[in-house]
Amino acid sequence: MTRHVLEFVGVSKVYGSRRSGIRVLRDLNVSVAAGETLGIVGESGSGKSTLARLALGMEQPTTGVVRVDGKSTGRAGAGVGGSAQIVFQDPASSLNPVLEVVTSVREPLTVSRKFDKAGRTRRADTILDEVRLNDELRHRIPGELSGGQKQRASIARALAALPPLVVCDEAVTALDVSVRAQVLNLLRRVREEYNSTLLFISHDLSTVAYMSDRILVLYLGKVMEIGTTASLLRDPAHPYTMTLLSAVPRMQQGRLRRERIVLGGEAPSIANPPAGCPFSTRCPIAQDLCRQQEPPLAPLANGNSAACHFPHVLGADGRQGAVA
Amino acid sequence: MKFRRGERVVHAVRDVSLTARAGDRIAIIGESGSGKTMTTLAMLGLLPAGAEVSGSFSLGGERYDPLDKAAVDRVVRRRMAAVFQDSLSGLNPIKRVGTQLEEVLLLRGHDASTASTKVVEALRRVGISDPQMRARSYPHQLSGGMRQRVMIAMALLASPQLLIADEPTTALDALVQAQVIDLVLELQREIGLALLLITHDIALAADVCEDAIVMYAGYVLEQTSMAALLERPAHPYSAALLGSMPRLDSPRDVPLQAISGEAPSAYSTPDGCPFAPRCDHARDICGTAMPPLRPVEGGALTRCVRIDEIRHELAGPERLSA
Amino acid sequence: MRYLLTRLAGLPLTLVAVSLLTFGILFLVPGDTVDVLAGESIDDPVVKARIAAELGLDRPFLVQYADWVWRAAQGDLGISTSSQRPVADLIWARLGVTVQLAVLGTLISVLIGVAAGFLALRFRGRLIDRLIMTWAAVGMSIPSFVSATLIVLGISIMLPSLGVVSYVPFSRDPLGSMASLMFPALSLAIVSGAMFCRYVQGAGDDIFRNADYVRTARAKGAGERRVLARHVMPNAILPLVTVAGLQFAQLLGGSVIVETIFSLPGAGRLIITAIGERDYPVIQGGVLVITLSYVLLNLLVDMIYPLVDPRIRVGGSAGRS
Repeated sequence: MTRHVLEFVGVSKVYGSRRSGIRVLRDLNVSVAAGETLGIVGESGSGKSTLARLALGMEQPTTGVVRVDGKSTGRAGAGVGGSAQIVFQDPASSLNPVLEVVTSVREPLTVSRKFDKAGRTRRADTILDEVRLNDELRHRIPGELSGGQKQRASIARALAALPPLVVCDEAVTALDVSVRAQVLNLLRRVREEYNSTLLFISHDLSTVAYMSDRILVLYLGKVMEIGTTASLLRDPAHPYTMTLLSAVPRMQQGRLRRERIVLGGEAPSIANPPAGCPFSTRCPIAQDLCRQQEPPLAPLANGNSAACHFPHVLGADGRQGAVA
Repeated sequence: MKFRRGERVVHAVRDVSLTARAGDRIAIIGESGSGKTMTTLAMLGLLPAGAEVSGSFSLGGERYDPLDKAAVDRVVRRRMAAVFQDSLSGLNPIKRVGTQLEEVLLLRGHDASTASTKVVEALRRVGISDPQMRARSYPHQLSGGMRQRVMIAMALLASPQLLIADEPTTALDALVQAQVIDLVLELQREIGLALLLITHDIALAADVCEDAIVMYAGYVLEQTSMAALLERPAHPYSAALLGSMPRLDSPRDVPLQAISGEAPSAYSTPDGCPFAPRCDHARDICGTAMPPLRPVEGGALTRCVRIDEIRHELAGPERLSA
Repeated sequence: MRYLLTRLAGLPLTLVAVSLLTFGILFLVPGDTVDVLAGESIDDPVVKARIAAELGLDRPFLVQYADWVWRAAQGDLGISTSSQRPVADLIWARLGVTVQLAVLGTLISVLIGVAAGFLALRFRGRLIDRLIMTWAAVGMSIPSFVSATLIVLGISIMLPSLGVVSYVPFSRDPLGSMASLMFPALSLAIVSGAMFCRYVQGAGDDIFRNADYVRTARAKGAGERRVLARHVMPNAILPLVTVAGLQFAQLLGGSVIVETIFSLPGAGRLIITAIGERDYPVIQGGVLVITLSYVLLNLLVDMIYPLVDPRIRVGGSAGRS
């Protein structure tokens, strides 16, 4: 029986009044198993930041339940030991600028009350060793560290108290390209060491695909497709997924111009969602049905799920959005 | 090019040469501190105070000194335009978009009465719907993609022969990025511009450009055609960059080929190759002197001293996935 | 709009707090209130009984408070114990002067501040810039009574023919009225003008250095003068709107010293005199009026700002890219 570390059951989030407010997320039913990495892909306005905040317990769902490690985030569970931690895009965000790194790393240990003083020191040293911040560096303050070093310190801080869930929100986006690989490798290493469960959010599909076991594709607050990375890349079902895949630059000359699926229309605003399928205003194969009836998230033959009336059809056109 | 900050001297750019012809698409690939932005600022005559520049700049056959404002005005402003990364801060927040666009025309002596019509036309050309209304909007009312189109429109109004795009899509979503790139390429074909794309994203550069210049710590490490760069990189740094980027077909159970260490600070003046401390192929000879840029087999220019020995070890991504 | 309504919602609470405090001044004074009010007749029980009955001091505090608020709302602020005239009349007569002074003072400060800031920015890094900013730093540190005294001294030494210019009421001669307030306003303006200058120069310098739209403007071909005039100054002056508004509100209540030195019949002077004479109704009424104006002006400034800054005025659809 797999233990689910993160569960979204019937979750939706509305800002403002329930009737006339803005629905940033809806019909979210996802579970993340222990040790799994779920990648979240979506553009701005898709609701991925809200999803992260719900997972962290920073916000409460309007409907449904969010559970971390079995405990609903509704109760005071969030914030006290065993709660989710986050690694931000800006490494300076989670590190107190006036404290030495090692002190910042010890802080979540103090809060979690799982360790005594000697245990805390040991644990902090261990995790700092893991992220390869040597003794000299860990006694510096964040301002004295480079971007990559700061991010490694953030990761150490996030993982120090062995949280059940770690949210990586654009964790490597702000880093130099040559440093990104270092940090990604580091994440993979510690993930394996501690069997950590990760929620990996990024707008860069290549990075998400590399890091994640499963990928969730969000559009305008709704799950468009969810499935294992391998099958999603090889055999995407939803037109939006295919469009995203086709828009990723692939280090082949002129490919984008040749093979990209072009969308019509403008991105709809979340305040005025289209009736029916949210993607219907821009989908290349949208039919009347799509504009009238919102497709439910339905299972597919390959084990993934997609919210589309005509899954796999765009691919059947001969235009494979999949990886060449 | 160097400039002084107090007592210290920053050698931002060293020995960069490039030639762009109409219709060329050249990528300058580098990370922060590589000097790529400084190079373009120098070309545009937008250098901060205290900069010292040596070397020659010419546009359309006419030479100019980037530090001479009058010369820059005369030569550059009419023929070179730029689109920068952050479009929200690149636009004056308390002025309407249309007004800011008109400024381009007014500064070039165009008639005020026709300026607004031309602006609306330019907005339409870059794919902004309802251009008349948009021209009256303020920057914060537009989405990131729209703002970037406005910046492109602004560049176009200058009727440039060379367009510099400095990380134009880094802050944008994937689909919007693709649209903006499409637009730039379309306009380039139409007008016959030369395009200089500055980016850290090699995949994007590969997709868009035919030629590549790889910069690091102010130096050009490799200068070659894009196809050659992808297939047979002529510098360990280029190869390492290519290998370290996660791609959709990267095997998930294999660690990325990370480059250890970090880029040197702008103040350092290394004796030899600036990449040597991080290079897997470095030997003693790499630390002795800065190698000159020289051609190697296949037409690439490189600064790697050991390239002939190690070239076969440097694999392009095509080789990697084999 | 919602923002405004929220601010307005807080108004009643502020008003209650303000009025409670000002009314309560009387009761915070050590000693029995009736004794204090009796003054010399402190041993005369008849006088004290009369005072107590007249002013209703035997009633519970809240009743007195409510009564006072009710009457104040109708314009009746009681009777001055020293002059036996209605407090409201006294204040009203003098408020005009204080308001004029505040208006003039703020106006001149803004002019000085913006002009000086502009010059400092125009000649960035050169001698003029340094001189202006030195003056600004010094000017900010001068207390207003020093600047006022210096001006009075200066006038008497350099322009003895001017004599002491006494205040000319607005109703009689508007232009002359403003002119008669020129020197007092100037002594206020030296200080706040210096502060505004620093604001403008600080904001402008930051914009020059860091704002990307300055680079865009230069890339378009704008010369330095145009960049300064069209792009830097408008943005640098924006925060001044709020600051100047607050400064004006402050000048309403704080020009006591200047009024005293220049012998102006202003509300500030009235209150000071009343404090010396223990004329509590005047103190209460005066402080209430001034505090109320401050609160209302604050709100007004908040309402004006959106008019000037389009980012606040018009909502954005800017997506987080």
